[in-house]
Amino acid sequence: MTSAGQLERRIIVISVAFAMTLFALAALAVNLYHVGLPTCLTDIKPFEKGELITHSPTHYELHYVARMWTFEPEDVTVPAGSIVDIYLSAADVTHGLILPGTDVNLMAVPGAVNYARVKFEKPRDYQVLCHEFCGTGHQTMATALHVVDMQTFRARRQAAAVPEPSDPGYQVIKMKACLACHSIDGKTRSGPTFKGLYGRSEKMTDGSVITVDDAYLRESIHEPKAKIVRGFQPVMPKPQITDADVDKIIDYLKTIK
Amino acid sequence: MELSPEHAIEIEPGLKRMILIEIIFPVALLTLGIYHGLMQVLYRSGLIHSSQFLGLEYYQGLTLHGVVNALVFTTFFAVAFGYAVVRYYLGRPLNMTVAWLSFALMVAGTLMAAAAILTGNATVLYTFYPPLRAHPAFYIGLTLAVIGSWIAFFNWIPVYVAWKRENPGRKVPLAVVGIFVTFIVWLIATIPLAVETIFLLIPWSIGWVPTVNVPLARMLFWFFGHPLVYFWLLPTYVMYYTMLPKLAGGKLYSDFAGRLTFLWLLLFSVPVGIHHQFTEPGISSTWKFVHAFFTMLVAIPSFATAFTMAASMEHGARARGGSGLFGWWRKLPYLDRDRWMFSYLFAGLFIFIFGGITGIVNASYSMNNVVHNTSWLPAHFHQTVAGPVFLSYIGMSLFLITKLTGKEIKGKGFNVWVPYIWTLGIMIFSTGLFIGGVGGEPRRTNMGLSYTDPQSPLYHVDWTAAKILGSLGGTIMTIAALIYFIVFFATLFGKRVKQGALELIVSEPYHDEQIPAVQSLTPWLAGAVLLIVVAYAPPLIQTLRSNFPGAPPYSPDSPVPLNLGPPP
Amino acid sequence: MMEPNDSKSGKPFFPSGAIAFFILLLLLYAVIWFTLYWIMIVRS
Repeated sequence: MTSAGQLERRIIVISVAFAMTLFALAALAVNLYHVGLPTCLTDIKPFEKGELITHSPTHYELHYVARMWTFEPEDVTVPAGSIVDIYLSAADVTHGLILPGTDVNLMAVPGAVNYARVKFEKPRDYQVLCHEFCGTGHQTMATALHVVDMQTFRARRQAAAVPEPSDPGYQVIKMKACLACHSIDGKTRSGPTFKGLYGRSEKMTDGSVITVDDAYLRESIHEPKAKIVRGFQPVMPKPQITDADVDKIIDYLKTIK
Repeated sequence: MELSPEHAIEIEPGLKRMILIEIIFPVALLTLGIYHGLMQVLYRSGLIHSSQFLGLEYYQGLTLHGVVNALVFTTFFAVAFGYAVVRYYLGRPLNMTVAWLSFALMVAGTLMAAAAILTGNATVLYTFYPPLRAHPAFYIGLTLAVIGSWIAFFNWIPVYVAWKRENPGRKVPLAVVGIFVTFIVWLIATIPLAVETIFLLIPWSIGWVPTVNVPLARMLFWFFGHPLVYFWLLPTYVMYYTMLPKLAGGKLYSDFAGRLTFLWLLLFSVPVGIHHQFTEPGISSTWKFVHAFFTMLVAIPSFATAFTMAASMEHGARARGGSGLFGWWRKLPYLDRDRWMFSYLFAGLFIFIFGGITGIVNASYSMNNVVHNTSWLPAHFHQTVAGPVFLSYIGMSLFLITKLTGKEIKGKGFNVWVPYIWTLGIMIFSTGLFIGGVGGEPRRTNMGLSYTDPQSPLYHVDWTAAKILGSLGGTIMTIAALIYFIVFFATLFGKRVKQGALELIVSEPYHDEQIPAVQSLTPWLAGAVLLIVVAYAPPLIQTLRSNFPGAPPYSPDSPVPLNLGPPP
Repeated sequence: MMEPNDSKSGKPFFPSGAIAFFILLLLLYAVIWFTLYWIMIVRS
């Protein structure tokens, strides 16, 4: 007759065998299916500029900078069949990057650079999400990654990239990190877009309708929670900013219709 | 529950009062933590499209939910339960001056942290990831609470030593082994946490040092963060091994299994923390692999527990007339109002079946890529910490309250259903989160403002069904918790029917094996220390040598770093 | 006192039901684990 002690030992042996089988299969997947985990990179330092670097028509290096609350570069397009080496750097706090539909799942930790390789077989639109809490705008930190066929890719490459504006107002907006919540190209982030903002009529949370002018912009910059545009949250912190810089911003906003 | 009235013992009024407060205080706070659990599923499912509700911001409430439920409630309960077990089994009074000092530190620390959270100055979640910065009161408060819990443990050691001296050759009671392992694991695990708060976070959050080494802080946090879950689970295992067999009407199938489970957890609880950091940069994949291997081994005692609990319940069920290979499952006291504690423990075991396998998935090295930081994770740990741990803790809290005050339980018929309603809720909730998580749904995200808002350009239609299940399950869980709170406070404010005394449920072993390997803590403790050095020294040295540039503090509200030092 | 753990035939208690439960548990675990493993491979 088996004693309890013997039986318990058998249960433990079976459990160890079971767990180790799973572990071995998970380890095998690294070699068989190329799904590994990131390691410690020593040859690349944290970077501040996000970009897509072309090594060959089917091999790209994608440097993502995660910052509150955007990914740079935004809306990347790569051709189907290409291999993309994703490098990820955190510019301020800890972020995450997940590419649902693939096995790309990375943390962006200030101080260290993360890495994953992905091969895109077929055309598809992916959403890139931040999946680590990174402040009150976290839920809108996402961008798109388009995989298109080679022909479409070449056609889009023709349309040259828009250079960064040199306007002094834009420099203030960039320095004060307004771009974390306000886009200049019409995209909705945590705050209303700056594109076409000047002169637009906006509906407020209290039901009133306001036409955006100098006085409204000045008030909204100095007292962000005084009036809130419908559909947005009163989350903007009060910036430390001079009146001269506010004027530069307003002049710049008049130029982006 | 009149299972063993002869086992009730009179205890000192001071100790009795302290155990009572250490149960009532966190249960009262738990109402707030559970309230925000409900709010979270409502926000996430898109039923609320707002950054705040009733003055509580989403991420502030999420921080509160994590800190209160996972840190405060659990630590207070473990200390209160530890006092009860040590006093009950070792039969000696405790030093009350030391006990009250521990108590005062824990309460003061908790109130400091709670004040920082409620005033919106510590919205950093319970994992407090820098460089998001909380008010120093948050880190100092939690550090004090942890030190208070250490002092409670130090108070038990002389009692244990004296008992050993007076009872040479006798086995230490199983429950005492379990509680001592619980607190040894806690002590080992909280040392890196204290190092993180005292040397990295507090000086940085005050403004004495400009930057913090984020990869180092994260490694120290997870050095603590995984043994933390065994600190939660071990008191539950004490209840499973020493109470569940008796409640089922039988005996503990194997005393050896209980001892081995506790000692095995002592050995492997700590050198596994990097499995929380699988997808992070700055850590060599070799050490990730080593931690993954140890994590597989730390799952083994839970397999043994699943079998031993089934065998012990089978023993009880057969004594109650059960038969057949599976037929005996019908003969367990699922709805016995007078053995209501059975329902709390049994329901937790059921939930843990799923919490167990999803944990193995998380730990399976490359498979972590599928689930890391998605809503799969909260689904997994709600099936562990909000399953067996939570149910056993609230059940035992209620049990101790009735015994220590000598009061009759109010609403017995409702009470016995609480764990089953909770189970129904958590299974629905987790199913929703599992499905969403595999589809990439992020955890810790106010999705009502983006991914579940049809007005938003980020609207994600695939996650809607998952969110409906999440909010439905969360609502059912809240209903169960509400019934529990009504029963708990009605009992507490009810009339005393007899003299209050300390009483625990005590199962006898069916097989009381004498196996020397599991009779002594010391070799296992030495093994644990050795494994920690092997698993943590190299990655810690690597992290320190890498000279990662430091990060300045940030408020969660703004992308511009905070300037805490004197103006330039 | 009669040992409550002994069945009427007087045989000592053997947890055959618990063993059956344990086998089913491992089967369930394998099914769930391989589902996730398959998802990982499909996406790789």
